Amino acid sequence: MSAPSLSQEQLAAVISSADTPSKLYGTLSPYEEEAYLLSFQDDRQAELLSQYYAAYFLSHLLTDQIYEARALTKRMPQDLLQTDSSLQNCLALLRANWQHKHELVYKTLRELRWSEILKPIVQSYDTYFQEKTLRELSRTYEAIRPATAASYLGLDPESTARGDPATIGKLTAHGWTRDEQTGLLHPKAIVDDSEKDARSYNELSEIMALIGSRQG
Amino acid sequence: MAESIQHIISLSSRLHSHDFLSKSDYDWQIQELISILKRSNYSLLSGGLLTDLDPFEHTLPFLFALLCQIDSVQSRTRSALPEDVKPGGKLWSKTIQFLRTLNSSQICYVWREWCQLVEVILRAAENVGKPLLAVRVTSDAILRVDPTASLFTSFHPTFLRLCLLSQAHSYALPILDKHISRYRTGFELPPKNAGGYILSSDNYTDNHATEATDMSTRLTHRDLSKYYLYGGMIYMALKEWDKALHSLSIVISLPVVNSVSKIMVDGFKKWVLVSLLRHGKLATTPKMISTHVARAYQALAKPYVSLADAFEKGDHHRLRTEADLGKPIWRADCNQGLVHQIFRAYDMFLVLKLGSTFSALTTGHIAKRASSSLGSTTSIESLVACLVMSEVLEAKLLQLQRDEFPTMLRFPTSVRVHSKRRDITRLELLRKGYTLELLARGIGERNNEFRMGHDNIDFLMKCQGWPGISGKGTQGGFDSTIAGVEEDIMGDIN
Repeated sequence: MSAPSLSQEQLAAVISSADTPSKLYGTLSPYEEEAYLLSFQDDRQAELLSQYYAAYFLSHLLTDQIYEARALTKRMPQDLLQTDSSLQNCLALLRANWQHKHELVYKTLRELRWSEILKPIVQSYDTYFQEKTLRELSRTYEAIRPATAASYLGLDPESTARGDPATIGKLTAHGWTRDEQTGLLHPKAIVDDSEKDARSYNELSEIMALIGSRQG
Repeated sequence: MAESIQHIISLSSRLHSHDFLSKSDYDWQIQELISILKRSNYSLLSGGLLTDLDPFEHTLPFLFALLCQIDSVQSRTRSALPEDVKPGGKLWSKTIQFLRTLNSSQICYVWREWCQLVEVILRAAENVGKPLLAVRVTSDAILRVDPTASLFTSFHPTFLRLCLLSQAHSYALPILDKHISRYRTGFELPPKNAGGYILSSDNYTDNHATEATDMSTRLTHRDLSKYYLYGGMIYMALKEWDKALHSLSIVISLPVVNSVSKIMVDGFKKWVLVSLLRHGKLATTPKMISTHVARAYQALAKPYVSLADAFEKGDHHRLRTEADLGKPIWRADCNQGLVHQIFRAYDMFLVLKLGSTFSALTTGHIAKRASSSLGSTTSIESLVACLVMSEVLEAKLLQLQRDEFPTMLRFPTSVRVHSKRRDITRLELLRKGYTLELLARGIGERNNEFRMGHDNIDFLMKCQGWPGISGKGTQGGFDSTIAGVEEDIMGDIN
């Protein structure tokens, strides 16, 4: 059964119904050829194309495919990319991500104008990016100044430095502690994923069994 | 004429309900259908056949009708790629419909025709500058027809080229990530789960071995080197350096008769740069490369070797000079992007080297040893944090209370390093394990093909009335008997 044609209604339905980033990516991906063909039509629907490509781009970031997200910006209709504000926002987001400028990522997500249809994905990416960075920071720093943590996590620098309970509470909820004397934050180390570990061992056992069977 | 079409449809329908047919009947009927289709002329395969037939129900008639109509329109327009075949054309949409819905279990009987059709749409999409339109449908179709994607065909290099041209790198991965293990026998046995049939009659194998030979004669050394070079380039675009190095290692270690090909030299140049990006030094040259080939590479890629030398010696000034001097060369070789990335890799490996020397140091200490390009201690901290966050470097950063104090960098205790290395080794073992499994399967298939499997050997020994073989098994004197049989078989082959 073929999927319904690409339209704004269909796009809105896809965005609202996808409950995981991978589903969103998986549902948007098959529309790329159709969008690509649409982009060559004289009476192309620029708004639809802009929204589709922006949503598809964001779904790449949500699934950690930054290199493919960059490639997508090359596959988009280039004239549209240069003029459309949503696609320009995507480019700015890509650049900030590529250069690991966390503050700029939050700024792009929160301060630039995104169309209504894209706002839920933008919000999802904001949350995803913040949580991902929190995990990475926990692995990277033994002690971190509140201002540095705030810039990485998109928190308000002043309230974080002041030790505002509401802001610090977001971090202590993840096991972080705050040294009252120095004001430094101490992230909590991440525990290894034992389930993944066990799975690897099982797979290794299967391989060893295969080698054993071939020796006979 | 109408009776013939009815006959074709009737035969095709019977194949579709093959659950009721024996293996030999299915084989015989499919051969009969193919033989009729090959004999059929244009008037029979034209008309409304493509409109009336369902590509899944009647995969073989649909495929032959498509090829016949493509051939006809090519002859009529005297063009290899007429408008009808190009994207948007009538035959283009029929081909896409076919690739999306075909019955994969029947395609392995008409491998040559299948390859022809895929090549046509790949060429058509490239010709109109819309390669994206062909890549995903081709990737999906290849995987349906050959789920292991282990068979190399004449259209594989073209497929990867289109993925590169369209910048749709990830669409190549389902094919590229699989190991190619079959070249010559473009057609062997159909998949074991294809309708539950494992065809093994002499007639079947012989017929298709001939067809396979026809296919393989079209495959050249160039096809193979192009495939792996394009594969390496796709992995480079995705920054999967290990896989890129593997693909490029295959390109540079392909057998050489007289002189190395341009593709191999291009592969070597990229291999040098990817080695630096991945390991911070030149990787060990594959042992399969002979000395004279290695010397040829060194001579033909001298600027790259000099660049690598400066990188390995940690001479930033010379590295910059070499990179600047070589700009026209990098541009001509389309390696500018890789050379550009060398500088960030240089800084990264500098920090990694310090990590192997010191147990702890400050960003200020790194600044003293680093190139001027790294700049302030703040940018050094950003680089180190980025390396640790992306799990390239195993270390911990310790900021002090005040901004003006440099951040301390602690490298981990040996236990943590070992734990990390253990994980990496385990993943590597898993990857090797999957390759081994594929290899083992391939050996099994080859054993069957050459009748070298245990069953065949037992059968052969029984037929020859050799002692020591009984219905109970092969215990007692088995080793000496098998040793003799193997020699015997090898003697036959020689």
